[in-house]
Amino acid sequence: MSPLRAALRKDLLLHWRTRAQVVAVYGFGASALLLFSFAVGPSAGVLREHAAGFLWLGLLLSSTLTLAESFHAEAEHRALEGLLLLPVSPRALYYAKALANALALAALGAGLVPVMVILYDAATPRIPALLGIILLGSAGLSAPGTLYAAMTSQARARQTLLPLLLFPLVVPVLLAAVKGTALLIHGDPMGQLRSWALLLVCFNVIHWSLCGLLFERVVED
Amino acid sequence: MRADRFPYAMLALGFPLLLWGSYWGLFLAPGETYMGDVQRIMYVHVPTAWNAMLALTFAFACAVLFLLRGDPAWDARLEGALEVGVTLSGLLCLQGAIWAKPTWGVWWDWDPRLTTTAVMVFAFGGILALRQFVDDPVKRATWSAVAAVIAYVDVPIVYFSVKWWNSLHQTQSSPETVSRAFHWPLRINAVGMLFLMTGLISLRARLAALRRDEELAPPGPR
Amino acid sequence: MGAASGVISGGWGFVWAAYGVSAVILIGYAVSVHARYRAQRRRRGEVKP
Repeated sequence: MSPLRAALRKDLLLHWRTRAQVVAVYGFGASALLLFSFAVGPSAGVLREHAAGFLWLGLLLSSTLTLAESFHAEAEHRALEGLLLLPVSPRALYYAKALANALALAALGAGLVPVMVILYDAATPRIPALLGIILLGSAGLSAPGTLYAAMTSQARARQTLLPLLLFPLVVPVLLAAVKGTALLIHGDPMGQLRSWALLLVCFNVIHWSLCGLLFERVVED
Repeated sequence: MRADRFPYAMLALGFPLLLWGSYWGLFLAPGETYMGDVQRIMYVHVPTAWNAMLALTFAFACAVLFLLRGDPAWDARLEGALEVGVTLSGLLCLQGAIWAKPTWGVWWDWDPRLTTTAVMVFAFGGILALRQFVDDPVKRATWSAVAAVIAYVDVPIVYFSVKWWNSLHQTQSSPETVSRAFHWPLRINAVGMLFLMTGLISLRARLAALRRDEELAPPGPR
Repeated sequence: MGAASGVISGGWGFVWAAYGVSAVILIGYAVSVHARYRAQRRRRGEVKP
């Protein structure tokens, strides 16, 4: 089994073994969506209009929990040093972890869609496209998010630092994902979805390569 | 220290130039056809924009050089460039808001350049915050450099995405700044601010180097 | 609203505000760096020129 696959298997197993936490994060995300409704008011029209924004804000906030958690084992049990001693390149470790995080976030996002449908009356018939946007957006959050989670898991004030560092960087992801989702909900007469998806792809290409390159420097001793 | 002549000389050159350029722009240059006297804000706003971007570009260069060479002097310069760059970018946002209110009627009109600048204030300011919470000097330097590289690479992506996001709602175009501005006050202020920025980054980098020295070998009892 | 319809009259208050804010921040920041630098050098016991 290649190092990448082995590491990926390890990280997916970690997510599976801590699935109680996954449920808790999902609860957090869903309650965030509920709070947005309270903040904005019960007008169905307004809620539906901004449903995409609320979904992605909820996912973004939840992502800080998921990403921080993903390095919990490495930080608490000093497993990171052990992993780095293995003849596995740090790059493989990064990609495995980032991939696992991306899948976890995508699952979270997909899980929040029914909440969005119910609370905001915002549904779309184009389910595969929606899942595609959720996957691209989750990957966009995960690439820099995993790198910064690795960094902040070793620093003080880690809970504040991760969102502080991550949120400005992922503004393009937020913009593109919200726009894409909104187009799916409200209709896309001018066919703009493609362009926003392309932006997400570009963001992902750039950050998955750059962060993979830099990860080694973040975890080196 | 004799070597301190350089930063203070830069400051001594920069401030008078800014005074001269601003005086010219405020009192001697003619008002602009459409924007009236409000356009005079450009004589300080455009130089700030150029120098903020320059400072953060220099920060990016310092980050890359540190990652490649490991010389702590580049980390000190990175800290200087970050702080100066964030200060100038923050100033830019304030100037932009003061310009926008009489022009568009709102304090913030989501102009892509200014919005990107606001994101940069948070992105690069966050790196300054990161530095406060990392005790190991080598880790602090490496992580700041990594974060600076990622943040800088992200800037064009942020700009493009905000521009496109905004263009779907607004049709007003960005103000034609340079073409309508009277050239000399702008150039003088730009050069003045360049000297100022150079002096400030240099001085701030020296401060960072001294602090790092103290960290590694605290001075004995005096 | 200004530029769309024609001339913005007056507005000197905003001009002064912009220049004033710029001066305050630039001078204030320069003073801050200078003061911090001097303080750090004093801590090292160096003789100031």
